[in-house]
Formats: sequence, C-alpha cells, structure tokens
Amino acid sequence: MIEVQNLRKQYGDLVAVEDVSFTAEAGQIFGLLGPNGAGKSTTISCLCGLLPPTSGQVRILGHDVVQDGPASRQQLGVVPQELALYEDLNAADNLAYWGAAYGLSGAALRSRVSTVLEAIGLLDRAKEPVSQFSGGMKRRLNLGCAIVHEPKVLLLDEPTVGVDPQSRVRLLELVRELVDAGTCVLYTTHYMEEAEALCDRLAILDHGRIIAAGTLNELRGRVSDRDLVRLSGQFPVEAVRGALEALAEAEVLQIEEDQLRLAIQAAGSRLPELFQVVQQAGGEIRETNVARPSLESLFIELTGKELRE
Amino acid sequence: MNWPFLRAAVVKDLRRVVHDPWRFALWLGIPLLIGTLMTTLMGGSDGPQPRAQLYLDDQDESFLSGALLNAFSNEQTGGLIQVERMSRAEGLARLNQNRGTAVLVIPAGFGQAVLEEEPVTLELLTNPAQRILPGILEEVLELVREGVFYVHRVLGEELQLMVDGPEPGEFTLADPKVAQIAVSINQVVQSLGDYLDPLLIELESAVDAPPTKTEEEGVSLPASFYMLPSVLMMALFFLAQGLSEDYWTEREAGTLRRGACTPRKMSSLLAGKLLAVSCVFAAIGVLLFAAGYLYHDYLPWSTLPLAVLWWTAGGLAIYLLLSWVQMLCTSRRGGSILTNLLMFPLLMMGGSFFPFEAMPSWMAEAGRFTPNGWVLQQLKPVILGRTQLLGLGAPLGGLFVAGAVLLVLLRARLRRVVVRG
Repeated sequence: MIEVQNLRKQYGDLVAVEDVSFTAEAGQIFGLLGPNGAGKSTTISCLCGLLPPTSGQVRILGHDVVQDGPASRQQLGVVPQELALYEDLNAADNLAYWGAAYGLSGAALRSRVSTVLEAIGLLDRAKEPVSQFSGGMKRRLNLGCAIVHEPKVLLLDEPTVGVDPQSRVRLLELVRELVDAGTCVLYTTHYMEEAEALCDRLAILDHGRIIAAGTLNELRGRVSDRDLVRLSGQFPVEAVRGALEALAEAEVLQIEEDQLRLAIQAAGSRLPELFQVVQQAGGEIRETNVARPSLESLFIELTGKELRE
Repeated sequence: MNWPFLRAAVVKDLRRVVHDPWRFALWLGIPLLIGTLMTTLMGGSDGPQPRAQLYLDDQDESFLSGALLNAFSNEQTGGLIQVERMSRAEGLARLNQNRGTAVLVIPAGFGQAVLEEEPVTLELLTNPAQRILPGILEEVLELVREGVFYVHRVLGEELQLMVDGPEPGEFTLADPKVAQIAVSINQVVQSLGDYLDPLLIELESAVDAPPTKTEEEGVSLPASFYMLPSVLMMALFFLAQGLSEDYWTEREAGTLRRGACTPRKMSSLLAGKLLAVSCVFAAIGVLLFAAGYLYHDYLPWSTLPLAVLWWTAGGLAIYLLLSWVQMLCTSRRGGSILTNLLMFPLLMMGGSFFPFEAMPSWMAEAGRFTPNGWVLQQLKPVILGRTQLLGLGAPLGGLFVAGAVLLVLLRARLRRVVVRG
C-alpha cells in the first residue's frame, strides 16, 4: 500500500532524508521512529505530496505521488502533528468540510460524519464550536477529520504529542480499530513505548537515514541482553574510559564530563563493582539509571544518544 | 471542478464569517464614521438652509419704502431673508420668544426725507439669541442704504416726479408725465453707458472649495453625493483587507496545509474562498448601497444591481491583491502592517478620503490610476445610471484580467507557504 524507494529530500546543502526505503501493507501499522529532526515529518510530507522528493519514488496504492498526486491522495488520510481544525466551526461542520474535500456528499457524507462523531466520542458535542473543546477532544477530532472518508492509508504524524493519558488510550484504540478494518497505518513517534505497543513493523530514523528496520521481534533480536546503565556526575573522561575497558562484559557507549552510558551484563548485581571502578578512576556519581533492553536501548546502542534528545 | 466540494467550501467560509459579526461592525463602522465626518467637514449637508426672518414695520407706506422692502425680498437675497410685515410691537414680542431675527422699522416720512436729503433713522432691532443671521441683515441694510443714496444722486428728480404721483383728481400719472420720466431715465442711463457697458471693473472669482451644487452633464448634484462612492470604496477596502487576513488564520491553524494534502487542487480551495468572499461583498454591498440610495433619494434604484456588481468585482480584485501581499509576509503582524501601509495611501490618493472633485487636479489625475481610484471612477456613472451593463463590459474585462493575474500569483505563493508550513 505504501512503497518508498530510495527517497531523498535535500534543501540546499541540507539533506533532510537520505536513501529511505520501506513498504507498509494493509492491516498493518508501520512505525517510523526517531528523535526530533530525524526526518520523519519530511518523509510524511513527501508521502502526502506536500514536498516533491529530490529523488526516489513514493507510491500510495500504486499511484506515484508526484505523477499522479490527486489519485494518490484520494485514499489517503493525514493526521498532522499540529492540530489542523477550524476552531470557529463546530465538530460536525469540520468533519463535513473535510469529508467533502475527499469527494463525499449528500447522505453518504452525513452518515459518515455521525459515524465518526460517535467513534471519536464527540456525538453529544457535535454542535459546539471547536474552540470550546479540551486539547484531548481536539486531538480526537483531528484524527476524525482524517478518517471521515474511510481512507485505505492513514498517515499519523506524532498524533499523541501533548495528549492526556485518557485521550491517548482512546486515540490508540481508534487506530487499532482502523487497522483491524484493513487500513494501512504509517505512525511516526518518538515515544518508544507507544511504538512497541502499537507497531507491527518499524524503521528507526536518525539524521535522515534508516538505521534499523524490521518487525518488532526482529528489532528486539538485535538488542543485546545487556542492560543499559546511565550515570550522571563528574567524570575525568580518559581515566574513567581506561578503567571501564578493564571491566568484563561492559561496553562504554558514550562518555562525557557529566554523563556516562554503558551496556553491561546483569547490571543489577554488578553496580557496586561498577561504582568502585568509576570512583577509583576519579569519577563522582550523583545519579544512576538502569534500563532493561528495549527499542530505546537499541537506539542508544546504534546512535549513542537517547531518542528524546 | 468538484461542485459539492465548492459548495462545502463556500458554506464553510460563510459560516466562519458569520461566526464573528463584530468584525464586520469594525470594518464597516470605521469607513462610515470617516465618511460621515468628511461629509460634515465639507459642508455637504443637504439639510434645511438657515434663513433670516425679518419683521418689517413700514410706517411710511411710500414708493421708496416699498422699494426698500423689495430689496429684502426672497428673489433679491436668494431666499436667505424672509420678510413678514407686522407692527413693531408684534415683531418685538416675537423676538422675545426667540422667534425671528430682527425687526426693521421704516418711520413715517422716510421717502420724503430721502428725496429732500434730510436725515432719517431706520430702526433695526435684532434678536440677541442669534449671532450670524442678524449680522447678515445689518450688512444687507447697509448695502441698501448706500444703494438708495446713489440712486437718489443719479435719479433724484425722476424719483421726485414719481413720488409726487398723479395730479389732484387723477388716479394715474398723465401720459406726458410718464413719457417725461421715461425719457429722463433713459438719458441718465445713456450717460452712464460709458461706465456700465462694458463694465470698467472686471471681477474674476475662483472657488477652491467644493461646490454645494455641482452641474454634471446637466444634472445638479449635491456635494454630499460625491462622498457616497468614496465611502463605499473605503468600506470595500476595509472589508477586503479584513477578509484577506483569513489566509493567515488558515495558515496558522494548519488547515491550509491539511487542505493541500487532499485530492483537491489549490485552485479549488481558492475558488471556494473567492465565491464566499463574493457573497459577503454582494450582501454587504446591497445593504450599503440601499442605505446610500435612501439618503440620496434622487438616485435611480434601477442602477443598484449593476452598482453592486461592479463594487463586488472591484472588491474581489482588491481582495486578491491584499491576500497576495499578506502571503508575501512572514508573519501575520507583518502582513497586517504591510497591507495597512498599502491601504491608507491608496485610500487617500484613490479618492476615498476626499472625492476627486475636492482634490488638486494633479492629485486627482494620479489618483484615478490607483486600483481603487479606477474602480471608483467607474462606479459614479454606474450609480447615476450613465453607464449600463454593456458600457461596463470593458472595465469588467480589465478587472477580470487583473484578477486572473493576481489569482495565479496568490496560488503560487500559497503553494510555497503550504510547503513551508
């Protein structure tokens, strides 16, 4: 349903997306993970035809988004990262307008509007101006406007940013329902837990490139069984690095004057040993964080930094 | 073109416009207020003209007192002074009730005293509650007094003959006496001919202020008429500027970008907006023009539809221009400042603050080349019924071409800003 081949987008000297390729199928959620500025939104913009790719090919349901733009967008729903609603209209009018923009009219449009209002839990608030809605309600309506025409492909660009937990759960339930009905979903996020809970297949983006891709299990298989330890404090870089190299089954991922990251086997039982080595090398530890292996730890292993940085 | 979408887009924008009626009050209130002030400042009120009410007590009842009364008559003073005969006491009683301007008493023996060059006193009692009109009466009386003096100097003998009247026992002057007076007056007039024909004094007057009545193609128009199209154009400009800010509202709300992700083309989105704006212009135009036609009740109502059509078409072109300028800017504030910087000089030059008729000719000529000035120039004859639909064909074509160019520029600009986000 979504085919991206060797996508490249360049602005002057800045390469925002480089050689990105992936495919996403019907009834599947494809997650695009990466920190801010990794190229997720640029990829989405190329997919929905807002940005012409510098090179490469993007096809939606077999339609090239450059050569056959309107046809590729006919079965595409887009949930932008920022809210895109008419705040001075009510929820029903917003849905009716966006439904009409995708070719719905008459009884079919009215029927879809009420179905979507019910699905997003706004049926009883349908005639209220959107400006009076809470943030969570606006997020749900934002999603509703993208699915009013029953698209076969849905692009969700960080749809849960700034959403309260209750609305987030409702939004994710809605996405799952759409996927169960056969919709192909491309989901971008920098919340690893959300991606792990939701996505069938994933690609991790950094600096415009895909650094890892596969099913959730495939990616988990790439994560070693070592725990991730993050220490904060004061560290003489060279002395601490040298001391840790002597430590068995430990790998320094990143070391700076105020922060140290390393992967270490059975960290829980080896912390005293670790503290002793660091302190003997002149380091001073103020805070310690131990994490079990996850997509986040894979990202840190691959890039040496956290997703939220 | 997808008609259901076009309809939905128009309905959407009209609902959003109706949602905030106070914006209209502001957009229309400012030009109407400015227009009213300008009309008042230019003395364009068509209300009743102030008149001096003179109560005359003619105790002489002579030929000369009658001539004096005639000098104050309606015809001589252009209707400025209304004369009513009554006794001195009755006149004073009215002045005490603040009714009337003055009482003029012509004493008995006035005519004879003039002829015999003896002193005589005319009594003018004025109303202290009035300031300007009594002064006018005093000036007029002074002029009349001097006129009487010179007439007596030139035609004293003839006047004496007329005052003497017919012979005892006769009701009219005898024919020889009438002939004698006529010949005598004729000789006096001929002797003055060297001075009067041609006049040795040439008086040239120039009026800078707008006329209170203007002859235009044989039809007399009050000065306040010229403010009507000017105010309407000002309202149109304010309306267009306010509506053009909607592109910023859509841009900031993200709906413009979302619209670009749909199968609809940017031109379809723009077409919806233009149709909605046309409906707004037409609806507001009907109300404003109807109010103007009611105020200027001599205007032919049959010209209203064409006037509204032209006004709406001109408004669309101005709206497209201002929308494009808005989208050239990088922020809403910048757009607002730039469009205001553009709008006010154009309003000044384009005959909206001051009608072309009240401007220095060079400025009026230049102003007619501004977009709004050009629209305004066509609007006046349309309102007066001197330009029909066929005559408006070429100007409408010009507007269409200008609008099409601006539409292409705006569409290209919107594509860029949508990508930028």
